[in-house]
Amino acid sequence: MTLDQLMDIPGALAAFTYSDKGDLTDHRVREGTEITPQVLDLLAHSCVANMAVATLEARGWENVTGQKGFEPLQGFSMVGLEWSAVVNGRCGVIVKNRDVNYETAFEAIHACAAA
Amino acid sequence: MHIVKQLMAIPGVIAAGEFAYRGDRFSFEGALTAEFARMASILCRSNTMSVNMQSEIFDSFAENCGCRPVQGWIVRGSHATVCNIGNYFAFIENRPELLNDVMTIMRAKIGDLGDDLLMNLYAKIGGDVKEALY
Amino acid sequence: MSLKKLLVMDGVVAVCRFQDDGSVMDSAGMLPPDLIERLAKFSQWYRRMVSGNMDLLSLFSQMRGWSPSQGWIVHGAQVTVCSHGNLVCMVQNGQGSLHDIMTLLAEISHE
Repeated sequence: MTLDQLMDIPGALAAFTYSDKGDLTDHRVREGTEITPQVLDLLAHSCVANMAVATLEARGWENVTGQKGFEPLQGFSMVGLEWSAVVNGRCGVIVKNRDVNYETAFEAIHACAAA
Repeated sequence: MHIVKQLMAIPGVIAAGEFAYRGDRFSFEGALTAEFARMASILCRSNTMSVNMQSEIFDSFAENCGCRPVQGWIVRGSHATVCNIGNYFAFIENRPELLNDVMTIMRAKIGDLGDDLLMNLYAKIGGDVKEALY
Repeated sequence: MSLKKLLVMDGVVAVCRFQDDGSVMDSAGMLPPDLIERLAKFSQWYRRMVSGNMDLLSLFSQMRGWSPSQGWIVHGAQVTVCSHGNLVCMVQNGQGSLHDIMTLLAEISHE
């Protein structure tokens, strides 16, 4: 799935890809929002951090409790008051909460990362 | 109906509960032991602190960015997912539409969280929000 | 008084003691007030984050000696920010000893 296709998911305000270290590699932003490439770059870096911490948590949890099913991680989402950021290891999308479909968003970024 | 009970009534919800700001007090229902629930509350606190910090930073670069105040977060695993709104968490199976349903219920029942999330989290269980962590 | 003890150390550019809500209790050094405020807020959040991650590491490793976390260091290209408890210091790299600064930070943070 391309970034332009990511922008078609319900409520999408921005879509972006980033490197392993969190540097922004490509992005799309809907007109009229206050999202800038600078903010997306910060967000991408926080995505890398959040995915790493979530991996620590998933791996640690599975090891200590024996409960499986978390790894390999599919993604992370930060839920704000009006927007949510849905990300995985490579792609992310910012969506409006009133229109959001989390499952569609996670599937879409998975398809984007696989491309 | 209390939110935890409401969530536990949904097929596919493995466990649900609430945690205190300091991660040291919690309540839960479902397929967790008390020890696992304690661990879960420490994980939840850690992620909640992180996303709150991040949203403050984003906000200083783009006011009205729509992420403040932070409401919660989701960790999407391969077959199971953990979602958090405020000081409530839920462990769920990755069944179709379940994540959307759980998030909708949690956001509706808990309502919008205000700016001082820490005050909200701590005050519910009781305690001095100005008290140093250690 | 004790913040000045840190300020006189080689390399230290600014020092700040912050409260649990991220506001500035005391500060000294070369940073303008608005940057000191930002530093204090950032340091308080960072302290919470590191403390949270330390708890996770402690939990999953079952090792003693991690929690409770004491401080953190962010080592930049030319500047380093280091913290112990509710004290934070900005340091110019290549001047002075980070070890000595952290030792003094630890001592003063308990005052």
